[in-house]
Amino acid sequence: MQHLLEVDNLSTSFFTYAGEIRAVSGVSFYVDEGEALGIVGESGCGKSVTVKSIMGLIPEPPGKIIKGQINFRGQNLLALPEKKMAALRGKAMSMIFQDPMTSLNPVLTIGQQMIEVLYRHEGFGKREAFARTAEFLDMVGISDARHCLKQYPHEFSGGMRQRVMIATALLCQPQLLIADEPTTALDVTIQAQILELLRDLKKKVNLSIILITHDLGVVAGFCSRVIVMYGGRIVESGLVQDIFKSAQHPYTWGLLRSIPRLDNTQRTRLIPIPGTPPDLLHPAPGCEFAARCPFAMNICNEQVPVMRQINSGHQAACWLLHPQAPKLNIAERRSRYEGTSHSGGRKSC
Amino acid sequence: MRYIFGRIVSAIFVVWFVITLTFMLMHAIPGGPFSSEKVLPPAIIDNINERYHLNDPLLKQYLDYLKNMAYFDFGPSYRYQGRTVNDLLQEGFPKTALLGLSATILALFGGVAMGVTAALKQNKMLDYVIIFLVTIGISVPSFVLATFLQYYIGYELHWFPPLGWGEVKNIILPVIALSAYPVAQIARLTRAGMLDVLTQDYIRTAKAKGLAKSTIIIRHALKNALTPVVTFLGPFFAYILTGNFVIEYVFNIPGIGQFFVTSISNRDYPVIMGTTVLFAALLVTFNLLADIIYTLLDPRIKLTGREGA
Ligand SMILES: Nc1ncnc2c1ncn2[C@@H]1O[C@H](COP(=O)(O)OP(=O)(O)OP(=O)(O)O)[C@@H](O)[C@H]1O
Ligand code: SF4
Ligand SMILES: [Mg+2]
Repeated sequence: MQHLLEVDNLSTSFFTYAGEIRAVSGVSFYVDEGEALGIVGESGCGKSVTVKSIMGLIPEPPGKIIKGQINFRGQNLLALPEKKMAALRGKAMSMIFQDPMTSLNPVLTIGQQMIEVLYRHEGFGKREAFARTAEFLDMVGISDARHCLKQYPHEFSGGMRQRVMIATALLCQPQLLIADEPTTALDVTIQAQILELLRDLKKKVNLSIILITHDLGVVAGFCSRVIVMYGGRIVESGLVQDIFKSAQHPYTWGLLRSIPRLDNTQRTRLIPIPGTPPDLLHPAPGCEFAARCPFAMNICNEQVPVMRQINSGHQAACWLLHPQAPKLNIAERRSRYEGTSHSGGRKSC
Repeated sequence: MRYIFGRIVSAIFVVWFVITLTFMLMHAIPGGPFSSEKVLPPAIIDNINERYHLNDPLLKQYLDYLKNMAYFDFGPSYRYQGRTVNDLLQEGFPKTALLGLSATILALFGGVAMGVTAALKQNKMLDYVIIFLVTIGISVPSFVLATFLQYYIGYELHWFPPLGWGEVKNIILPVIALSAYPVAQIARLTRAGMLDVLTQDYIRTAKAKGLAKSTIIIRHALKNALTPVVTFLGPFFAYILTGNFVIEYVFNIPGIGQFFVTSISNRDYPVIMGTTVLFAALLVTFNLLADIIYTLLDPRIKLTGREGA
């Protein structure tokens, strides 16, 4: 079966005065219809650049998609002229962003910002557009649409604005919704509400979602598959249960330690992985994670680890998976990380 | 609304203050309107002073003047026999207004268009050309530019008449000279505003919605980018009003500015005061207008200044 979205060997760089920043190098994944895919990884690992490449939102210059293919509904997006791309954006695929405070235009009313999408993509008349907008506002839990449409973003709370963003993104009934950290800027309780809303909507309309987050805990409750990114590459990907029960990559192990335990009512402190993020200006000759990896071996500094299939759908790129690598048990994994976590700075990832 | 009412009251107060100040200054300067030139017989001077109420106590003169002012009656001119200040203003105002209005329109549209173009072509040839023009417009004083245009375009090249008034082609050079500075300022502010706005998240959102490029620039970016331009409108109007003096003088345009300059050397009190008051009133009105435009552009700014009523 053909996938709704298929990204193949995508590489995107930014050409700055300092040099080429390899924000994304050789990323491949797919999204099926009605499926939710999670992308996790610490700040700067290339999550946003990956999805912006899909949406055609990479600022050029300095950015440039160097190689790869992006197929959406069987169409190679990278070969499409900008006009055709613009016609897809907001209609067939939509995106919502991290900060709802700054993502809405302060000088236009909510109504103006929503209805313009329908004018643009659906050619709706005023009455029709208004009806659709009100319906979608209602769907995201804003009932007083008539009043709300006349208001300006600054009259709304963060959670409300994110609801407006979601409603706007869904107005033209897209097949793919990309949510780039949709809850990071919100209060914890509001976060939960927005995620609940997205979950609801996914069921109601047959929507595929790419959800970007720092928080593996969010992924667990929302997505069927996850990809873990590090330094512009995918280091591990698989079904949610694969990742949670039998993760294979040391970086994923590090991420997993920071998930709050279910038996613990208090949210546990985020346990950071010690060390600094990779330097995308000067990519390492081997595994990007080697400098921070408690399990690094000689080969890790010399050769980039290849992606290995663990079982159908679950794969990881780590030299530990090589048949000749030493086998580690769970206890060993934990103890090695504990040993390092005290020495590292408390940097949130 | 209450705020606007308050502003109007304070505007009237400002105008009153200007009236009083000019009145006092005029009378503080030694020498009367008729004390220059050839010496007149004392009887005649007395006669003249009597006729124009210059022998009255100062306070009475002041109060009379205020009273007339309330009826927009600026009194007779001391110099132009048989003509009132109102006549002179009515004669000069249309010319000044046309000049100012044309310069304003050119400055707003030309400046904004240049600023937007420069921002969209950032660091390209066109951007550098515009930055160069802007630098010239800001640093060259208007009388230098006026004289330059008059000489080269007017006398040397004969493209436009270097002097005078009455035909459409007469207005071209004065308007360019008058609007060069505000065009440059507005272009500079618009460029900076656009560059700032184009990196904002809501522009990225607009792109993600698949809107046409023109929609993104005009509807989403420009409205935000113009905020700094609107804050410049107050000084801008002041510049146009005072700039008129120089430009009218250089190009010999019989507008209010020229009346004003001649009336000062003539000590024609009523003309000086009438002009000053008119300009003060215009300036205050324009500033109020600028504030109102500001709130129209940005809904986050409420004219009330306090609670959103
Ligand atoms: N416009 C740009 N110019 C130069 N470099 C950029 C630009 N945008 C992104 N980058 C680089 O690309 C890298 C990846 O950025 P990206 O925004 O994808 O990270 P991210 O994974 O989304 O992080 P976060 O969780 O903080 O959103 C960063 O290291 C950044 O330096
Ligand atoms: S390849 Fe080596 S350095 Fe990289 S994660 Fe695996 S063990 Fe660690
Ligand atoms: Mg990001």
